[in-house]
Amino acid sequence: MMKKKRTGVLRLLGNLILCLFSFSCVFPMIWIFYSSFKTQAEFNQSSTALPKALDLRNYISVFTQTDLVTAMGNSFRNTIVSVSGIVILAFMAGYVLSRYRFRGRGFLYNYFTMGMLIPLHALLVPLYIQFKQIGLTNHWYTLLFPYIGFGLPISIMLVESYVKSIPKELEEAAAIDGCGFFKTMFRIVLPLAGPILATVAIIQFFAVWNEFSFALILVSKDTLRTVPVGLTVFKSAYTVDYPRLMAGILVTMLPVMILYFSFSKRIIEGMTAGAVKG
Amino acid sequence: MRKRLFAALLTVMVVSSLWGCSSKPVNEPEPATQEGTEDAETQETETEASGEKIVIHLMSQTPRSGQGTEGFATGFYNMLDQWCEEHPEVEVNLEDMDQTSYQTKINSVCAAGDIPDIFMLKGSWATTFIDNGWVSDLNTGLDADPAWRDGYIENAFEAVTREEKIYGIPTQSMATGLVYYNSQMWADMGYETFPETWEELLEATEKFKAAGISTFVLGNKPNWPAESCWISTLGDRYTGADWTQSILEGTGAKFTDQEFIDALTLFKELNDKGAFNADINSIDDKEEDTVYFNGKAASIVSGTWFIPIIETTAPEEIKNATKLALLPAVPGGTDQQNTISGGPAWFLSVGSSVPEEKKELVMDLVKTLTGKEQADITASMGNLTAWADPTYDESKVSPLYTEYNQLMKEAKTVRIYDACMSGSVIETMNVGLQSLLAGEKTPEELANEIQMEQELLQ
Repeated sequence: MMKKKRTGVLRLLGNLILCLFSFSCVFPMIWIFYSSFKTQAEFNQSSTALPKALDLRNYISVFTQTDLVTAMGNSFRNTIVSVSGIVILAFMAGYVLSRYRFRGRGFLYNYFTMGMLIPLHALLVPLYIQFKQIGLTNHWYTLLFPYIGFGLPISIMLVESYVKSIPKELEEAAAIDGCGFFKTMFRIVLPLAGPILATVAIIQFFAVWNEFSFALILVSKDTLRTVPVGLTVFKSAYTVDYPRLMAGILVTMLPVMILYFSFSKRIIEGMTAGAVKG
Repeated sequence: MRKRLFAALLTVMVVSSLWGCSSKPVNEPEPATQEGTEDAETQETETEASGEKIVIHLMSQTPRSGQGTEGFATGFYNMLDQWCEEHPEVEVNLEDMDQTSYQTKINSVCAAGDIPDIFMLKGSWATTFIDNGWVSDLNTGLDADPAWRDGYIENAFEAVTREEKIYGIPTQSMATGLVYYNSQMWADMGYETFPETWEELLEATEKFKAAGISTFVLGNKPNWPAESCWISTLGDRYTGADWTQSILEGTGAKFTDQEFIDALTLFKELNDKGAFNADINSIDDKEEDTVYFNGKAASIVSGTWFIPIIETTAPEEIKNATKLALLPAVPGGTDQQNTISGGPAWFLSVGSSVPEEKKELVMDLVKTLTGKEQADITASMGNLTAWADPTYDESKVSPLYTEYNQLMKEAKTVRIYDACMSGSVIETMNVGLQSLLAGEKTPEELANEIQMEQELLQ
């Protein structure tokens, strides 16, 4: 009897702590949401108070005075193309590296994974010089190169180790039935590697969507700006218009959040697949 | 066999990466003429691409989204629009972004040898940009128009002048150590004006403390406000301007000099006596504004950027009660006590790779963007310009702005430490001041630390 009571109290305590934790995660979102309706004066007087009236001016200004919609289009294009590129290339490279033993395999694997050791910021200036000379700056496809290039190392490593855990017998059976190289790769292994590819796609989606440095340096046309760079125009030399910035953040966050909630089950699955094998 | 293959591949990799870096000697200094022709070539191709237009590449740290609401952005971009209308043969390729992004970008593109034709230069970057040859001197253009050259406030070109060559035109000016006080709250304590001596200030501190109000609010979490807004002025009140110059030139002055220690001691004592808010190191420079607006502090020492903030966001009664003053005279300081840290911080510069035939146009645009018309627009919206005497309608701007202009007629500006001293020294000073305020360091220890950092430079 006593024991039951004690576990009940413990459970309540545990839940309370978890509730507090969830609140700390959710609160920033709620705060951004209601603050985006405040005027700058209201915000400066108290940064946490609720808005006095439902003021939509910040949203109107976001859509009429800035190019955030273009920026979102650019971000979506970059993200979708880069992530698809990474997933396809990483799957093919990872599959071959894990299934075939050939001369130079170890070197090739190390060559790919070595990419993870290079700090991104060390490459900003050299990469800018090369892009400028080749004439690759300021195109819609400019950012795809660094995004795919930097996304590949970790992705290949994840795919390689996951494919290793898939029983080889399946492929052998397929071979007996007359399945060729490409058919085996795409018809047999690809569906089995689904969870890890989802992980790769999710990790890279966030990395590419939020990337700032390359988007700032390699692209200079307004029409090619991405969301993280586009949001910086809300800051002026000495003041930051926080409510307007928050309206901007919310507008740009919305599509990503809708995506997240509609695929949340898949995303959690993918995360755990990565967690065990990574 | 495997090893050999590995070695061969590695060689190919190394060679190809080296080739990639050296295919054009961007980092090596090139004879100016050669660079000029090269740029002229790229210029030609650009011209063809955009329908026979001359392209001028302009980079600014002021986002265009501020046009119409913020004084400087309005003046700058209105003048740019006007100039573009007058010069249909020119296409100005503008890149505007916020200050943090700008700092990353301008340094990257300049290091890569892709220097914009016109760009904003921060006073404290001047040495790097001049030593690397990224900016060209503007003496010829300035001397050709004395009215333009002499229109600026005293010492306006100081930060960007090397060996009598001027490398930038000031676009804005500011002061960092300005006292904003709530005259109502001070009147309640029996002070009609802000104290003019330190003793009076300490006396007032006692009274405010008894009433549960902070005399000053300071948000030193980002660690620059204490140094930029307080120590730059207080330091100079003890050391004098020659000492600062000597520190900059490395000709004898030391941070361990008694005068500088006196300034640190005075500041620490003010904090020890309870003049500041208790959470001095845990609120930032935005949150300190809120404390002042809520009437929990009687005054705030901040920069001129605070004037428009008060104008647009302060509650009405706070806005009406706020008045300006200089910091009170310090005991045992120099004769010059009417000082305030300030001066221009940003300059418009011309890149060193502008081809000769484009130079005249570029200079004309620079003149338009920094001239009196720009200053007048900026001033009429209540922002500070580097012009000595801008024309504006006083009834249309914040009374504080006019009050500031009046105040500055009798005050003398002195250098802002973080706008002129080396970054590592400033970093040590900023972090050290946090420790000083937290009572973890004595003024002597801090002075020693800063001096050690300073000696590493020489």
